[in-house]
Amino acid sequence: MAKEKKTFKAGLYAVVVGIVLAVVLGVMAVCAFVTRYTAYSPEKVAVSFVDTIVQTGDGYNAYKNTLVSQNKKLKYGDFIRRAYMVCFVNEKDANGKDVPQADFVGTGSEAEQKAIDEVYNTMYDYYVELLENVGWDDYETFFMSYFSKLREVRKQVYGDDFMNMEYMFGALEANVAAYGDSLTGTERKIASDNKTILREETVGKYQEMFGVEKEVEAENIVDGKKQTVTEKQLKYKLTTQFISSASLEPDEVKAYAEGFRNRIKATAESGEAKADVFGIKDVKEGKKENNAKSNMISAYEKLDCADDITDVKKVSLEIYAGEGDATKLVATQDVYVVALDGVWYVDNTNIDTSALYLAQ
Amino acid sequence: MAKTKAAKAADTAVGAAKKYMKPSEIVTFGIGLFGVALLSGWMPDYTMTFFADFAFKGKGFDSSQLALTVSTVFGVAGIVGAICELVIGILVDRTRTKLGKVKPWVGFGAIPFALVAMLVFMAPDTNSFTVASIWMFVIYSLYTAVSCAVESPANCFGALCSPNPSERSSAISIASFLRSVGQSGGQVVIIVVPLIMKALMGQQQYKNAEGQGIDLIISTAVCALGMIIFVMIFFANNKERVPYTAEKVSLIESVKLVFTNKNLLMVALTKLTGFGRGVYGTVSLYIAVYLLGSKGLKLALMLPMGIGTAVGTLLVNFALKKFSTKKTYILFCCYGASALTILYLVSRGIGFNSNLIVPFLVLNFFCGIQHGNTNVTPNIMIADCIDEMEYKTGKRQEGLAYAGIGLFAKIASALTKWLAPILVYTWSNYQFSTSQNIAYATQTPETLNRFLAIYTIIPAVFVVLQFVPILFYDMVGEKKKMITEALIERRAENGDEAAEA
Repeated sequence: MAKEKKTFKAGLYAVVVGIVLAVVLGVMAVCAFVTRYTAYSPEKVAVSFVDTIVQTGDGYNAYKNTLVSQNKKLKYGDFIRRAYMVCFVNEKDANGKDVPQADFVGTGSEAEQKAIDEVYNTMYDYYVELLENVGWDDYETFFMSYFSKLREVRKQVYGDDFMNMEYMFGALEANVAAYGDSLTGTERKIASDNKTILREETVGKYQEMFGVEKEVEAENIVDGKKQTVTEKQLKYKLTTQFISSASLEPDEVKAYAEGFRNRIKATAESGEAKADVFGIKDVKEGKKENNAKSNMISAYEKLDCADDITDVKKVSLEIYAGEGDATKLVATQDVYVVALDGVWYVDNTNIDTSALYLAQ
Repeated sequence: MAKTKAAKAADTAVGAAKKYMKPSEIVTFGIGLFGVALLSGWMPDYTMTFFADFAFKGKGFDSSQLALTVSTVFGVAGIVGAICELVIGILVDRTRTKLGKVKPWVGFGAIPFALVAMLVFMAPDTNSFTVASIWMFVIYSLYTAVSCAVESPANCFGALCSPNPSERSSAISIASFLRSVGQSGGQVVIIVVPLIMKALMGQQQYKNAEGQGIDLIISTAVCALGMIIFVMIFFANNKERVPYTAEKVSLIESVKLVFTNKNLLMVALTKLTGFGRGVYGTVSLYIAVYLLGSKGLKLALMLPMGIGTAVGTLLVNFALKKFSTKKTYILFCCYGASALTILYLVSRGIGFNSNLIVPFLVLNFFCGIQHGNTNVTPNIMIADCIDEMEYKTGKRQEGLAYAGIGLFAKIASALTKWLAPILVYTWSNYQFSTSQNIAYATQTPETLNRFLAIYTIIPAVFVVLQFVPILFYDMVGEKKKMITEALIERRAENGDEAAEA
């Protein structure tokens, strides 16, 4: 009897490959997700929060890892818009007409650039002052003071009473970045003509505090041309290390959640009163609804997430400067991280981050 | 008894009219190409931003060194792609299996294609810049080789799906359309995936995940899975019906052929002189991020340009009825350079802000029109050059001519992939985000203006350079007419001789 010929079944192969690859790709995607995404790991969340402050003194962006940002419907930026910026916005007057702006606004002229620089520089000094005297741990006071001052400074420099949210973000984020640069130092910047130095390098406070002189390759103008040269620069390394974490028992978690509620209660309930102080109302203009007041009340109310807390851990971290044998401990920090629906956040209501601002 | 001439002709006519493919095969052929293009169209630009902006965030690598390495990785991968294109062409030609020559490459190659694409987005957790650089070189070169091993054979399948030229042409047209749709499919995935992530994770957690490049990883998995499903549908349903009869292509022969025919050389040189036209593709992602507000909106940026290209194809066909290929080519290049210059001037006038969005998208449509020319006219020129070679040598060498031109195109593509990241990351003084929670850092106005230049004025310069070789192209007018008539006459004579024999 003739042997039955074995034939390749393309359809069966296609089905098997489709199923196997769907599983394999799914597993790979989940592995990559879990490895990279910090919010599923209490340790990684704590390190991310602390390291953001340590590396560039950026307490502003560090809040993206905290309970301030746990509201699923609001980005951190939108929370700032609804809870703080709305108090200082002045785009339309009482009759609905545009608030006039200085003539040079939107022209891209030298006068406009000069005015922006003047506002940002004045606000930078104020930002540093707030950082020293208030600190980002009290974000409520920080935001309110900063935006109030910004409106005042703009009025002085521009001569107008206009203010919008983009201008507020522009100034604040420029100040946050400038403060980071003052710590880390900046590289020399060469113009595209390869002949002119646009900005000389600056030495940051961290370089002075922790830097070790090293020979590095850098770009510079030599004999009128851009060249790569070897020069001495102060180099430093700051590392945030996870040391240990301790879970709270279920009854301790319950007590912790209650403690959190007590700490956040006053702020969470302050929305309506604040809206009334600043004259913020819900307005219906034709088909458009401006729910500024409701949005503000809701933004504050949602800060209280005590009922959703399912787990709490205390995480201990250490911050080291230098490498190898020259490594030294420069700060320690304990943070409480809490889980909501399996996602971990740093509890910003019981934390003192002053030790992380190493240059202060 | 021998068949009469009339009976033979009748047989041929019946054979030519016979339909070999099931209607579902035509559709699944297109679905297969759609699947391959879904992944291969997604990978280059999004890999570039992943390597530069996310893969090694927080590792403290020097940004200028990283920018230089990314440029070199893509340049090297381009060269790897050019070599693989030729090697795989030869290997496909030598493949003899019961499934055919092309199908095994597509059906079995799809597995490593999907897995390696996914591995590109799984960067090692290393603090060593050397390890990171080696990983980028190895993984992306490997990806380029594997994608070439699937994409090139898949694009050849049209020639083998049916012996009926008319049926084959319709199948190729439908499949080509679906392939071009598939190339933009990833841009839809990067809109849908973030929407789902936002719904599941919440707004801020999505932003944090985006800052770590996780939306790109999930989108790659979706594109890879889509590719596998669509390619497997094709693999299960489609058959090869024509023996692969293409002449054997040797690299040396094909290059020699290009260099010994002046007109063909000029067409090939347009690929090299115009290589920088394509840099707009890389910066378009950043224009979408900084002008439109999200990388998911790259589709919104590319859509007007794609519509412009479709309109441009119709306009080129109209122009070719009025003018020679040379004049049409130069005319559309001048138009393209002017359109890009106007877009640049308007953008600088308005400034890089929200007021620019509408004029930018409208002018983008007009900039797309020129692409109709580069899609159509060179192919007609190549066909004319093949006629000219046949007239001079008596031999018709399509295979060698296309292989030679293909090599120039691949080298040009490698140069584009090398130049684009240099312009985007180094020349523009691009600031990389160092924060885990911020996907893309704020850029200075100078950088944003340079992005506009990379999208507009720099491609405009290359569009002008692109037509310079065509100034020396002379297969037009009386010469073309004379050659065409001579070939018709020669073929008629040969036909008579064959009939007599």
